[in-house]
Amino acid sequence: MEIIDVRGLPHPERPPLIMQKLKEHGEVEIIVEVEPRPLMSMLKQQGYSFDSKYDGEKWIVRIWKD
Amino acid sequence: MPSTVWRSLPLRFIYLGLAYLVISSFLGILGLFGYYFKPVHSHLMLAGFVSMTIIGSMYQLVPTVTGTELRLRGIAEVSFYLTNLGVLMLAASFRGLIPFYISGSVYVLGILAFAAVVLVTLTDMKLRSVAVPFFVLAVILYLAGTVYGILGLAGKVDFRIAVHNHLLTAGWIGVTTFGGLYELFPMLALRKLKSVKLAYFTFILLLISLPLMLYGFQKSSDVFVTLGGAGYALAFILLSSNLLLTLAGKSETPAPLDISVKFFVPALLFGITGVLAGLLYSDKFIHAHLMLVGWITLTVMGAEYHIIPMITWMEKYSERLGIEDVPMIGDLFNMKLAEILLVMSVLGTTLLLIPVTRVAGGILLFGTFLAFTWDMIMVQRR
Repeated sequence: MEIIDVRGLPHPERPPLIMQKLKEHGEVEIIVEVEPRPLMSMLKQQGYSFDSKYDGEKWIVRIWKD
Repeated sequence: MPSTVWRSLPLRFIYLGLAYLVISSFLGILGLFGYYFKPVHSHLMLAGFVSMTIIGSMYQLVPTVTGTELRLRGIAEVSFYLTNLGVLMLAASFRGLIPFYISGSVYVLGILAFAAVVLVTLTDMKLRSVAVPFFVLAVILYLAGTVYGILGLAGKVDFRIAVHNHLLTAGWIGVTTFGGLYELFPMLALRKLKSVKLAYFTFILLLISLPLMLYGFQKSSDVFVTLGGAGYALAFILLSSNLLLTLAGKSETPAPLDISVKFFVPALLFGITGVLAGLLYSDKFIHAHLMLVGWITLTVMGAEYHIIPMITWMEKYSERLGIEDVPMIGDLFNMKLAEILLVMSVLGTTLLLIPVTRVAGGILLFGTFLAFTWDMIMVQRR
């Protein structure tokens, strides 16, 4: 599974990068400052599943294709 | 209308909202030259531009932040036609072409449909969001403000224009913007909200201060208006402090500040000035335009720099990624223009507040809104 730390990337660059990695690997884990609910909601509509947890410092979101 | 916009209900609301913005700000300039368009200008701006933008944004934001899906989609479609028809009919009513009880009823039916969609969607809420109580209260105030307007025109209540105005501006529009900012500001600033408890406290303050203020306007009681206004101003200052401290807090990221947040910051400063002007200064034009142009419109512009390109990219390009060359989200709008429009909107709002530069401010703002609308249309074409 590909792990991507998107912290430091400008906001508009994140969804395309995550989508690209999802298409390549089918499953990714992203590390991010705040839970990316808009992206998660839109990915859900495209048939992806996800779970997310906050470790006290950062969010870790796993996304995979059903 | 491009097919991406037509397919996405939130985008349809938001783009029609922009059309109302251009028309109503043009009528506002005519007003500065002595032509009387005040009620059409204010209703196209608030019932049209701001309300349609909020409805479209709520249809996108409510399911997103609560981890669910939009319910009653058919009713949501109906709300699009009824509210927009209602706005146009209301404008016609102010020119004496259609009776108010007809135009107002169509608009209220649209709001009822919208309220049903939002409230039923929230019954399926899977994630907690600080914005939810604000959105629920705002929807109730939207219905209350419009029904009060219709009953007033029908002579069924002792109608006070200030009650109608404040139910819809401080209530519907203001409370929604509180909730929207608590959700969007930290998300786009890439920081954790400084204090969630303080956010809920501002909700309680609004819940107490709004009825006090409205009761004061209804009964012409300066004491209640001042008490309610002070509570609302305190809530606003706490909202702004919470968000600005969030921004000042430690960042986990070296990412540059998002353009949306750059709009939110001066919007909050205009808002603080506006609530204080409402309390301490009797000029209604200055209070109203600080709040509705300074705070609300700049916030809407900031939010749209996120919402429109994001929805468009996901709808139009995400499936094609990796198969063909597609633009990135940042390629869909003109960042340099956005930075210029930020400066122009702050300058235009400031000039609008000063009597001797009011016309120049109005024209500058009209140019800003026109250029902003053009750039948002170009999101669909790039």
